[in-house]
Order: sequence, then C-alpha cells, then structure tokens
Amino acid sequence: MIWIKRIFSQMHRYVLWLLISAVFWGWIFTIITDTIAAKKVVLYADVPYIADRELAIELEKDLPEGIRMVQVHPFSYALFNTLDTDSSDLYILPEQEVADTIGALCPIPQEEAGEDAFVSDGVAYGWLIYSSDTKKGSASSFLNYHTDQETDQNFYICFRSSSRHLGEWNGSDDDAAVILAKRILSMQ
Amino acid sequence: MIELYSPKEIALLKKKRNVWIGIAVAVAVLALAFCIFFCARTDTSNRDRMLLGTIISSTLGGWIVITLTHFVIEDYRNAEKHIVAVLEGPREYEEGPFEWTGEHLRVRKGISMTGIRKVGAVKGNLYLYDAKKKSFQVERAVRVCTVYGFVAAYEVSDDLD
Repeated sequence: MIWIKRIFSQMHRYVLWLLISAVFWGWIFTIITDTIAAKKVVLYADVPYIADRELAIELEKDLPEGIRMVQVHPFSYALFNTLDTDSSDLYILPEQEVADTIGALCPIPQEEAGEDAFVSDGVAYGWLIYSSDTKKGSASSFLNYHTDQETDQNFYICFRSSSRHLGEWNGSDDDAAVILAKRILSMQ
Repeated sequence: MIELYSPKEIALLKKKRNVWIGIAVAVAVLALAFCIFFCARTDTSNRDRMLLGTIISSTLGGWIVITLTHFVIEDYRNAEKHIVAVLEGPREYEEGPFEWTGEHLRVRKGISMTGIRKVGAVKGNLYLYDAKKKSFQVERAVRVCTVYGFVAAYEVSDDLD
C-alpha cells in the first residue's frame, strides 16, 4: 500500500516523461528516418482522400535510380508548415489550384504536354490525372478525386519548378519525379 | 552497549547504490538502443509501428529509470544520510525498560521507523530504524543511546540472560 502511494506521489513525473518521450521521439524519428532531398521524391496531393502510405509503398516498389524514398502527403499534412509543400517535387491539384499556384510550377515541354494538359498562356503546367467529364482518373485505388459535397473539377499532376528531379526540364540531375508522375498516370 | 550503526554500513550502502545506478544507466542505454533499432528498421510500410515502438521503448525505459531513481537509489542515499547523521550526532542516554508504541513514521521521504517508549509513558519519543529491528531486543533493553531521537545503541539486562 505504501509503495502504491509512493508511486502515485511521482505520477506527475511519469506523465511528464510520457509527453516528453512522445514529442521528442516523434521529432527525432522524423529526422532520423528521413533522407536528403536529392534522394527522395515528395508528392503532395490536394484531393478529398488519399491513401498516402499505400501509394508511397506502390511507388517504392520500383524506384528510379538514385532515389531511396517516396513521400506522399495530403495537403492537410502541411497545414501548419507551408515549407513542406514548398519542398515538394510533385503536386496533384484541382484545376483552380493549378491556376493559383502557377508561379511555382515548372512548364512541361510542348512535345511531352499531350492534348489534355493544363495550359496557361500557351504553356503547359500539368498533366490531366482526373477528368470531371468522364469521371475517370488515374490511380483511383489510391486517390479519390471528388465527393458529393464538392463541385467536381479536373485534377492535374504538376511539377515544382525548383525540384531536383525534373531532368532536362529544369536542368536537374535526374528525372525521377517525371518517371514517377508517368507511373501514377498509368495506374488504375 | 550494543551498537546498531557502524561506518561499514555506509560503504555497503554506497556500493549497493552504485549497483542500482549502474542498472538504471543500463536500462536507459538499452531503451536508447531499442529506439535506434526501431529507427533503423523503419521503412514506408512499417513507419507507424516503428514510431510507436520507439515511443514505447523510450517511455518504459524512462519510467523504469524514474522508479529506480526515486525509490531505490534515493532510499539508499537517504539511509546513508540517516546513518551518517546518527553516527556523527550528539548522543543522549535514556533508562528503560522500553516497549513498542505501535507508531510508524517515515523520515527523509522513505526511511520507515517504529516508535518505542519507556514502559508506562503516555507518549513515545524515540524511534528505531526498521532495518535495525532484528538487532534490537526491546524487552531486554535497559538503557538506550539515542541521537536526535533515533535509537543508536542499547544495553541489555544481564538478569534476563
């Protein structure tokens, strides 16, 4: 009985340690298990629903050369840290968002743009990944593009202009982001 | 006079305390090793489980260290302090016979004491360290030596031998 009383007298220390442990290791774990930007491709998807981990696992099954990790995040992940989205390589965005963030996006060379690309002032900025007309989209087992509440619109897969993985598009060393974007587009 | 405290006890307590400090450090290192192990085994598919494993290892390790530090190690340190105080304190003598009061007291956050008093006295004013109970025969004690109210030594009656 005395021992139980003594342990309860230290309860604040146990609770404090639990909180410190969770916060500290949550932070350290993220740092330790991350990798440098040159060796990972980061995708942010502004869609109503995304199976982020499953999509990352699927993309990691066949990684482009020199890439060790694919990170997939919903936009809500970066709600309190816009730097996260600024360090992304790929975006999946609704049509309106593409128009709003066009300054941060890399133009797609004309020969690779295709017919359905998002075009602004004659320059293509995104590949169509979901069409609101046909209600069909790529990687639909990982991404849900519309809900009943929202007005349906096209979604595009776009590239950040300062990404390190766009190859000749922006003079970077590898084109891993382009390869992965093509793979997402080919997914059912 | 039968002495209940000796300087040798301090060395023994220090040794025991150091062993427990070693155990606490080993637990902390082990918990850290588990955390690093979980981090090293992390990939995209098991990330959540590994993070949970890391937090559980760290939390349990910390709880064990807190328990050892605040109960076992601190108790040894307090016992050490108590023994030093009794060995170095001013001695007083009181004539018996004595009896247990049934009163229990904890000093220095954990050292348990049992009260004794002169037979017939209304209130007890002496305390015996529970760890010394086996060495103390209250029914045979005719004179006790006390330091700050703690029984440090006692004399037994030859008549009862």
